[in-house]
Amino acid sequence: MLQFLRRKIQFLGRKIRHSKGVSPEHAKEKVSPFSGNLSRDLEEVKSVLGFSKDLIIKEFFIEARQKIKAAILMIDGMIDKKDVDEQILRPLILNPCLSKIDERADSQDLAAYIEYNVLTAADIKKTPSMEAAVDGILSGDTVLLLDGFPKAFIISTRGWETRSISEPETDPVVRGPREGFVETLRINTAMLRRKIKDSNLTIEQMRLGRKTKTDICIAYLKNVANPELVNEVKNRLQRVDVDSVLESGYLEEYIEDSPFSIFPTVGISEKPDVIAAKVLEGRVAVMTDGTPIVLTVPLLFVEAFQSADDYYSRPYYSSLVRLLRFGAFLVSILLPAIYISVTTFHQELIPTALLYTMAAAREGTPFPAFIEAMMMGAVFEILREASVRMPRPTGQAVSIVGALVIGQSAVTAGLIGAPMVIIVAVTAIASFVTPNLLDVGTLLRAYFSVLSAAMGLFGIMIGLIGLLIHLVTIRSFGVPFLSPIAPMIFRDLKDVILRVPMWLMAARPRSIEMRDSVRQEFLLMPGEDDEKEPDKKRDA
Amino acid sequence: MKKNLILLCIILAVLLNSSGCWNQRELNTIAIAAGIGIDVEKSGTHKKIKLTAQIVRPARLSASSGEQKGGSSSQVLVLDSTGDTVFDAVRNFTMLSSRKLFFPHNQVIVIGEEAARDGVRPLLDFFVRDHENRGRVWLLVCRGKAGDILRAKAGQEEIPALGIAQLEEAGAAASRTRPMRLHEFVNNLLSKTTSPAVSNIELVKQEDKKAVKLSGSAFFKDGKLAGFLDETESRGLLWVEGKVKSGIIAVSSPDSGEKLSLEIIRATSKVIPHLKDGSVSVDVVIKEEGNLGDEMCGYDITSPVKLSIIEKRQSEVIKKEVEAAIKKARECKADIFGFGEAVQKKYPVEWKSMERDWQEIFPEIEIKVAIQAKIRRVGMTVKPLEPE
Repeated sequence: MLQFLRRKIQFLGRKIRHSKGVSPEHAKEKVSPFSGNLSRDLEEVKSVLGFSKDLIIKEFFIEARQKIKAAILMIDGMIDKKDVDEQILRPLILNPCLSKIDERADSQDLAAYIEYNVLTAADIKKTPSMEAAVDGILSGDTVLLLDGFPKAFIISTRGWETRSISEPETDPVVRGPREGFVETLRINTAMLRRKIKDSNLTIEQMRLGRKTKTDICIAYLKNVANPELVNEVKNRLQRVDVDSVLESGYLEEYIEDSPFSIFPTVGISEKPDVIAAKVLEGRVAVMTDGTPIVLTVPLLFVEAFQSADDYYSRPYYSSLVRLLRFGAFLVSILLPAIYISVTTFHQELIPTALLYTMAAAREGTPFPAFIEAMMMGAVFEILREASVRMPRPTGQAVSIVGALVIGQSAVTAGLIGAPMVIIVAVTAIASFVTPNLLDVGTLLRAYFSVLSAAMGLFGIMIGLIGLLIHLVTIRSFGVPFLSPIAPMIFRDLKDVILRVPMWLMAARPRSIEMRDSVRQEFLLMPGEDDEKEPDKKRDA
Repeated sequence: MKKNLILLCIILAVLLNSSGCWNQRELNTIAIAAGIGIDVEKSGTHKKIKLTAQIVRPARLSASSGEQKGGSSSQVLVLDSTGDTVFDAVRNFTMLSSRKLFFPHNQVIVIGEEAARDGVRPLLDFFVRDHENRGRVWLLVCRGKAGDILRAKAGQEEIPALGIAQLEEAGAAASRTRPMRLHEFVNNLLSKTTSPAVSNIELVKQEDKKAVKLSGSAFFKDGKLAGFLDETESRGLLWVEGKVKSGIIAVSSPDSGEKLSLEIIRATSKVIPHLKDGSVSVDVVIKEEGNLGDEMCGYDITSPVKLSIIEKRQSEVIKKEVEAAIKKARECKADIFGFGEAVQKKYPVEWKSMERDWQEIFPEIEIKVAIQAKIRRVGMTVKPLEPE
């Protein structure tokens, strides 16, 4: 059915495009190249930038044998003023060597001399295109123009106020690194590099967003990641010809495999260690400038149940917790539905003593169980939304009101049965165990509640079968979403229901196709070494 | 494609809504039956079924936790309803109960003596046929009216029917009554020769209030109540069936005649029928293990020889109990032990000629009872509490 919808929408899109006669590529504004005449070029740049007030133009003379007029252009607030001062202005204005340049030397030679001998900045590019220069100015570079020289120097002086690296608010860990990505792309790529100091870690860059011109980085391990996957990611990203990319979520929706599915097929994280681990497993990371959230593809369903903590703590408890997470997810989507169906269709399934207690609690409550569940579910979602949106101090007030007024009073007033409050509370807590499936869980809970209210456990069964059918049809960048469970890849189960000790995880997951699946030597189990190992240690 | 899609949507919408509230009922719209009593009311030739239902009142249950219990108000509601048939009587409850009777959590069915003597086959049909009823419900017979039993207190349970069910389960600790669930009883009822036995319940006075007590068993012949077994005979029956789980055997000491008690730990039985020259005989082998529970006589048990005397006496007591049951069965010509079925299993061909006359054959057959009783442990003290 979703396939049908997708085809319909594509068809409509083509129809609109044809009727309007607009080609998918917008006609770009023509910007002329630099003329070489400084004052004319400056005017041109100013007009391209719409005479914005944050554009700084500093004109000065270079004291060569013959005075040459020059100008630097930059955007206030996006440049590091100290860099501009020390690496551009000071050498150009105060350099005594410049006067020694031969009088006959033309502007070409002068430009080369300036580039190689005078400017002390590390990153200098030359371009004849005014468009590129304007792009540079807008990205925080400084553009140097020389009179009589039809090219511009783009000198990297980017420097703006950034948030310092702090502990991410999403996925906190008990044990493990506390740092999280920030909004600046360069800092983020550096953080990833610090985790993986391997020459094979490739970081490719592209720009997306016609207006925002957001820098995007694709990071992967060249000798591990499947080249087809890398190409696919690049192709899909290049297709994204949009106005703006303000957050990685913009990209996610353009590159995911199942746009109509409620399940995400692109992974997210804002922790460098998590992203490093995913890249090391052969995945591709997509980093977006301006957001700490980094995308990884392909995403498997089981990743929602894996936490960074699992790998940093010892395997036994981690395995137990992982089982708990699977259980908690099922509870979070099914518990209200089961309660509804059991109390309205299958009272015979409840143990007798429990039935008496439940019946006692339901006594005198005015609404059917389904309405109760929907009301409490809605109240909970509102509370959650309110506490997320509210400023922190107010958030506390919201939770107090929610807990006391709605929980306690609704029961004492006889509006809601006490079991329903317990059910909603348990469901809510269980849903927080798998934060990546939080939104999916809410939708599924409503879906199962409706089915159970209509058809009881039979309805839940139908719903589960439907959900399963849907899950097995989804893919994420060619990888079946449910693997390694369906299709069953037995060797990968080491990291699904259980988390086996690190020394048993010698191979990378097979679910993701890759070049090199050997992670480490087998049999690195701690304990007595039978062969050369002790000798080596003695030598050292 | 588009047509199919629309069709699918319509079908789904219709199915979801029309199937909608089939059999949907909220917890506060059902009357949870905890116990059902069956009596017959006769006026002349006209016979009516009278059902007594013990219904749980959840509102009272919730009140009991916090507020005071409100004196005399009971946590159950006991209602009577009459009808021409059982189902008719069940439906007639809707005329006096605001909620529909809900059977799956029914704990006990008590059948009054008069109704039981008339035959239980027609009475139990509803409880087997209707999908709401469960086979696990306990079946009991009472002397007198079943309605009175359901109006009495039972143990310390707030809901008397639950109390009766607990009594049936706890009854295993004494093994002096034959607890019987509906499904097992119905199975036995279908046999042409076996006479099933069920617990017998009676009214006693407890703290000036009517209360119930299990006492022995009642057995059926041909679907009709045929007689009662006292507690000794009941245990005799359980020995043969191998259903003794626990219990106390009191034996008298050889020295003084004072009593010692032995606690039954486990017991098994084997029924082996033989057919020789057309005459049936049955060997019953019972193996029992017990612990010494107490001795009120100062009997020296440190010597193995003396202990084996006790073992022998223990066997004798068991044998007496079994023989009492056999005697009763023979008198009433009721095969309460299911010997007929044992014969049928071993000699299916010969059985065919015997089946019809089994009632006559059964009292005549030779029954050999062999008991192997052992004492395993003597407890935490060895010698009696007497100065040496």
